[in-house]
Amino acid sequence: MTDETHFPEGLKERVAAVGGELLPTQPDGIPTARVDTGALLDLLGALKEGPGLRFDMLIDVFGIDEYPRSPRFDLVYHLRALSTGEMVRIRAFAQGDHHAIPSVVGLFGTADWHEREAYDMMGIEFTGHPDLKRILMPLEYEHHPLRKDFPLEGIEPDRLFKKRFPGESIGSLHQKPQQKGQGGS
Amino acid sequence: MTDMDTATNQDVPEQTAAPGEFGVEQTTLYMGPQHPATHGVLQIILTLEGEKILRAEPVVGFLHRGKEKHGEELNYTQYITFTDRLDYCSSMANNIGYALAVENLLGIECTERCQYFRVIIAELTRIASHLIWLGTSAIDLGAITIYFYTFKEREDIYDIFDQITGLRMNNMFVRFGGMAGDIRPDVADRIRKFTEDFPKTLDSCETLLTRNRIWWQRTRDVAVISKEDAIDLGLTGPNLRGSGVEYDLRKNDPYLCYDEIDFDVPVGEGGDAYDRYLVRMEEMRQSVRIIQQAVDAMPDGPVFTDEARKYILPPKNRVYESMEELIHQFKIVTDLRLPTGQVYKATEVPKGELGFFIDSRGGPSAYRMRIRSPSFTNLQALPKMAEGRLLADMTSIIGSLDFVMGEVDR
Repeated sequence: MTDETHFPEGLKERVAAVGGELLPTQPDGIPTARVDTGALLDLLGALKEGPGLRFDMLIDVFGIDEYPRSPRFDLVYHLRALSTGEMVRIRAFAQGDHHAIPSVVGLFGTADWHEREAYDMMGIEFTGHPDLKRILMPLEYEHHPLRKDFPLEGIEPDRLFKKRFPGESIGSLHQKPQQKGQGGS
Repeated sequence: MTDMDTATNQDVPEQTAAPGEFGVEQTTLYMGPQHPATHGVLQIILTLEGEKILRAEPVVGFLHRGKEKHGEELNYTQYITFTDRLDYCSSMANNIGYALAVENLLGIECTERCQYFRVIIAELTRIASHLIWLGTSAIDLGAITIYFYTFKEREDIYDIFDQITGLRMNNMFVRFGGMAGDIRPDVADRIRKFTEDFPKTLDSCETLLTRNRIWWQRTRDVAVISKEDAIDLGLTGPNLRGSGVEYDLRKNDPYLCYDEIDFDVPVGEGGDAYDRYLVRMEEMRQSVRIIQQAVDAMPDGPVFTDEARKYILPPKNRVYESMEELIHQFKIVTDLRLPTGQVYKATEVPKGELGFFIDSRGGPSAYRMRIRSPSFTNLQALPKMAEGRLLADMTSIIGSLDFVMGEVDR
């Protein structure tokens, strides 16, 4: 299925310059490279500015949870060259106990919300991010829902509710208060 | 109240004015999440000085339904319904994007007839979505008449969808390797008739807005975003093209049969709300051109590839008659496995670039399902657009960005 990959102009050289390696091409044919966490900013900066084809738009940033492997979080950066429409995929692992990886907001402003989402959903710490806080979940939420060890039904889903309305349960809102004297089954 | 206090458009303080200069205290205003102009559940925390916006911070997530998490639990066929409800104004465009990603993973390509069929559907969806945008953004700025024109036409499109799929909205009609049914000749005629009539309505709307003095004042030089900022913020779709970047996935990274169809990509200049308005209006006219060509050029033949039979449910009547088909159906419902690999497939939906990244590790559901939604990214431009403007411009800004909260929050 994987045909001869088309590598955009100057991509191989720029990946090699920061010690990255090209990964086998996936069915979508987008050239993929893996870099060390420390060289991520250098590579993205080189891809943005050139020499060679300029990948000027960051399309997306997200993590893949490789639980229980370590390092656990694999970050994926999709870049696109607006002049030709070609794409490149850069991958890097988040490091350490806090799953830290440098933020790319300085290079691409759009990374702001994407990184906040990755932090919210997976707990990846983007060092140097101007305002790293939750974006989709409530600010006081304690878990990271897109982690593989987080169940679909949630962990204590009514915990936030209890915190805000102590002494009540979600179920009690749906039940009509039973009055004395009215016959029940 | 003295004359000094009544601020008109001419008296807008310059952006450089320091906070507190006019002796007005800063106020924080929570706009939304139930504000009628926010088109859904968006909250914007505004820091105001009098009427001037100093800072605007969008708060999203009120409609978060964990779609990406569900993508890791449900099987691939079930997930089509979830894509419908991302941007509920353009359901089938989302279906097509998702189906293309899965087809890429399977290594199959849909038939030529199906490609034309999908193009027709996608462009009808684009018109419907832009009509909702036009009606609602105009009504937010006081132009009530437009709303009735646009929603009448939109209903026409939904009637066509009803005839094709049996449903008005959330159609769930796209399958891997084809469509759930074919397009009937009488429906094709109806689409033809629609493409002839629709430009007239569009003309009426343009007469009401394009040279309208009030519309000019409310949209020109409002919500300006420069070319560089638009690229930096990752805007896509009409929002990017309004700023003068000629970029459309249908041209730059063609999918389906868009490369065989003749159409233009409208591009703005100044990047203000008025330019984005013009871009979207022209896009609707171009969509009409595309639909007309596609309906005429649509070849005969099957709407389903034979290669895809392995991955979709067999026809119900055959399930009742044949043991093999029954086993096949059972296998698909309980244990449909796709090849391993990672794919990212992006399509140009009405709001911009909608991308699906699927990481398949051979299981019955995706290991990672990532949705790159255009609305989420486009909404990031809101603080930049709002800074230094008047509070009344907020409706203009929100209207011109054209986002849907279902897609922002996923």
